[in-house]
Amino acid sequence: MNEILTILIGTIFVGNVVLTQYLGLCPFYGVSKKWGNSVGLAITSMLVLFVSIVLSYMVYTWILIPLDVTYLRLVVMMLMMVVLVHVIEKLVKRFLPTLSVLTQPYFPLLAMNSLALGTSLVVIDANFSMLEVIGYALGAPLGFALVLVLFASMHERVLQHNKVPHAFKGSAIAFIMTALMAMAFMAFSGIV
Amino acid sequence: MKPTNKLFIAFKQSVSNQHTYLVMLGVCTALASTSSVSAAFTLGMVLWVALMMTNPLLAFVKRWTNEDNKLIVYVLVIATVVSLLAMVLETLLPFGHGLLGIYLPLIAVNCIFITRIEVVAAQESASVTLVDAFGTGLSYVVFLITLGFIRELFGTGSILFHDLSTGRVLFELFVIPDDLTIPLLTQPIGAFLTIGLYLAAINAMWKRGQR
Repeated sequence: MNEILTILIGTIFVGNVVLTQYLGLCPFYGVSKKWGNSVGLAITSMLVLFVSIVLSYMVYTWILIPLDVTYLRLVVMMLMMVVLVHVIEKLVKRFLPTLSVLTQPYFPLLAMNSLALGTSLVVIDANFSMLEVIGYALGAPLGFALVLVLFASMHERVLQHNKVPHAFKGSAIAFIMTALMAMAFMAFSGIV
Repeated sequence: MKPTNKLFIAFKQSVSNQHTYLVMLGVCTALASTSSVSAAFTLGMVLWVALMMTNPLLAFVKRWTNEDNKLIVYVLVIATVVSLLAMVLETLLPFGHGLLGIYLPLIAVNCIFITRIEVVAAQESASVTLVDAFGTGLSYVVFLITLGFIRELFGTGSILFHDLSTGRVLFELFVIPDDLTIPLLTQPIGAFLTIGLYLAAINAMWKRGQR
């Protein structure tokens, strides 16, 4: 139990997937201009990432290693992501129609994305045990969702109420804001 | 229009076309690899070669694809090419391979691929696509090396040129005294900060050019 808690805090605050590993920056900047959209993406990523991380760990350790075809991992992982995202999208639409309205536009974003693939590769490369994988699979999407929602509320406010210098308009100011946010999150380093 | 003329226009467009847009597309790769010039160079080259292999190939096979199977075809081709290049890199330049870690396979999900395929390869012939991939890759590699240069120079005080197969330092450039460096620049924070300032500088120059 203690182990899982350590990994959870480690992945949400200390080694955040966005701020320290640069995963998922494409949807991070694309969707954070409106707070409401960011909540949709945050929920979608939580739905997809837990399954994708655990499943890719299982496929790698139980299928690819015994068959000695680990060089195929990228091809297998990417195909699996595309199929998995599609399946989860259909399942959500069938069983949770109210949630589906909120999450529908963001599923295609996660199909070919460094967030889904990167977190799976991290788990595979780090030689985690099953318990640690589950901890990571819970923590990584939570960390992404937390940073995304916080950042979106900041981004929307800056875009609406503040006069940004002309050169910094658009993506430049978003990067500077992320840097400041990463600096704030650096205060968590060392608590685990 | 003469065919060579068409190729030239494609090249010119791919190099000059919206540099800031290109930066935003490949941002995950760009931030992760630019803590040193060696890593930026290695990753940029792999991405460039992968772009020039996948896009003409997909432009060639597009006559057999349709709306339903095209995403699977893209994924298969890109993942195969990137896996292949990763294996070649591991054999020939083990030090360069070690610098990149998980960000090497992550090239496969770089948004540059899917955008260039959708914008160019889906409409144009294989030769135009090849020229476009060459130009896009060139523009991107220049950006990566510039960013890596700034971060390594001000972050560590000097630029180390490594032999990419053994990791031996070939020579050192521009030594800044230790107490004048900004170590933060080699951290993730420095990556976000540098890329933000880089984009702002590009925007400012672009605006001055328009006047």
